Amino acid sequence: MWKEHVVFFNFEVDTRPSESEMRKVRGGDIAMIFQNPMSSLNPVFTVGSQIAEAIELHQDAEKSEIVKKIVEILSKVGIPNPTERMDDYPHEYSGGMAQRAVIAMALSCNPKLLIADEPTTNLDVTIQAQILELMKALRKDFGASILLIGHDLGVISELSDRIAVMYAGKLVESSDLDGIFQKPMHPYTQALLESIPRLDVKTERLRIIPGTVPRLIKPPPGCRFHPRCEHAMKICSEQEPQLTEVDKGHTVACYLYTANNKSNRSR
Amino acid sequence: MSETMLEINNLTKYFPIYGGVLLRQVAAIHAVDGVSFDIKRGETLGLVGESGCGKTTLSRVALRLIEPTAGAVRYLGRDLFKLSNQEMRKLRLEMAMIFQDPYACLNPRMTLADIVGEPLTIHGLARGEERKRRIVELVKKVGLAPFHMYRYPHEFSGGQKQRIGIARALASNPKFLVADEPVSSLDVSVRAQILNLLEDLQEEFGFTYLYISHDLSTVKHMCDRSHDLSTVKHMCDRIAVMYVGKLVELAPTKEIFANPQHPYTEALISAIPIPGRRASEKRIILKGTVPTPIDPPPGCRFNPRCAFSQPFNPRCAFSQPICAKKEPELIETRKGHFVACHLRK
Repeated sequence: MWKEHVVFFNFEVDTRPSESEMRKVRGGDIAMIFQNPMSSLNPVFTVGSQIAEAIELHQDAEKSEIVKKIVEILSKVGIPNPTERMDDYPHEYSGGMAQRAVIAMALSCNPKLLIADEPTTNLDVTIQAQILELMKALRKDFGASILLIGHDLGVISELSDRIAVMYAGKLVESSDLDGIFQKPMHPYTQALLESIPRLDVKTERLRIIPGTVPRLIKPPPGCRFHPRCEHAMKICSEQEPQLTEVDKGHTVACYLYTANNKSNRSR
Repeated sequence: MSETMLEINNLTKYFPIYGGVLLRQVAAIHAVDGVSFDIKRGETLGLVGESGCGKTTLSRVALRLIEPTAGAVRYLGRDLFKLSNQEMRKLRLEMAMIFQDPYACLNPRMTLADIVGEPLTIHGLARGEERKRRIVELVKKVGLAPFHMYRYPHEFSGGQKQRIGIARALASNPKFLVADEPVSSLDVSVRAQILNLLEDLQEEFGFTYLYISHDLSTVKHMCDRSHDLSTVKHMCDRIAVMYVGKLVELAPTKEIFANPQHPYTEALISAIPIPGRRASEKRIILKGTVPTPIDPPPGCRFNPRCAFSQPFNPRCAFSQPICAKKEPELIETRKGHFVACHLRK
């Protein structure tokens, strides 16, 4: 029952790529960093051999060249003594080190797009700071684009140029950093920002979003957020709002901001 | 200053590691090592630290859920470890714990009513109609409905489960509550509900909290309540920072954020990404990882990662700075601000 949509990558492919073509892209031009580094590494292979696998699949390289490459990439992500540590098994690595190894694996084929799914969720804050610093440096060195997925708005702010907010399977708002945090438009974004304790400002009382996230088996009709929204109008439950650009580079899917509802726009 | 609720004195807990053919003790995990502090009545003391630094062990020893290796815990002046089991059981009425993982701390075979009613039965607080009335009252207090009473834990969401855990903790009318990472396993939007509930309950019943978390933002939120000082006078909410089994800093919330004295606290605060703000250049990035508590570094446990304690000449035995040699003691550098660092004397 799935609908097919073409996802354009680099705007070169305009037909659906075959599975073998996709295999070249995966791990090559598009690489992914998974959420839990410990479970995304295979416990029965050494870290080095797992990085080697990615390189072997995508590049023509001699064995000695591959080893050289692994050592180089491991030292780039900040693993001490890479020549020895590449022969270690994942359990011999700490959480932060394992995450570095996973990042090294993703970077081993110079990806153009790096998808990072909550790359620091399982790490302590001081280690998280190290990893974020590393990703920033690597973005600069490799010039890769990053799609950073996460729920920690602090982490997102650190790395992102643009932020898109998702709710129940739909994109509800997208803008640059200041747009989202200084002028949040969608009621969900607004409520989300007020519900988190902040270090920088004194939080008196946290905002509560009533209800829970809907089940996606039967999402609410119209705007998926309307049952929990304090501004919900009649139209919200009837028709789905479309993402519209209301400010330069700031798009939002909410009837409060669309043209046929001028009375609410001045809010 | 108000009355001291809990006094922790030089508390130490080592977990032995057995090994070899004869299974002799070969090493020990120094989970909590000589920690002392006190908690005033009506206060929220926040305990922060990275994973594995001994926060949870400390809270367990403080409630005598496990026996310490050394040290004392006094609850309203009574040494918990000198009490008999019967006496301890009576005291347990006044202390309760809200656990970290609401999925794991509820018995899947018990209904909500059984779970919340169990402390009432165990302590003989209420039975029959009275017990039922009390359960309904507790269930309502934490924001659940009476029709939920005969449901099993799997029928609730994570936030609701944590509410059940809180209702159970409230059942015996405690005075002192330990909340061990009560929101870390919950969704961001549900966290606010639980934090607000904990605050409301404190205001209503005058609870004393030991609030444990690795997340400085929620700890700051919970331990910074100067806005409702009208209810409890002289209340002074503080934050304690732990590092590898040791307390490194203890100060009032405002003070610790405005003026962190220990290099670790400073790094910890600066490491937290702030929503809506790009990282500043001033951020302190700590090198290395937290050392293992099996073999903690000599001297100050933070010294291998500390920017201020670089040995002048690492090859010369005499030029080692004091940090790697002598363990710093927790001393009061200004009023109410304690820090364990050789640089702050």
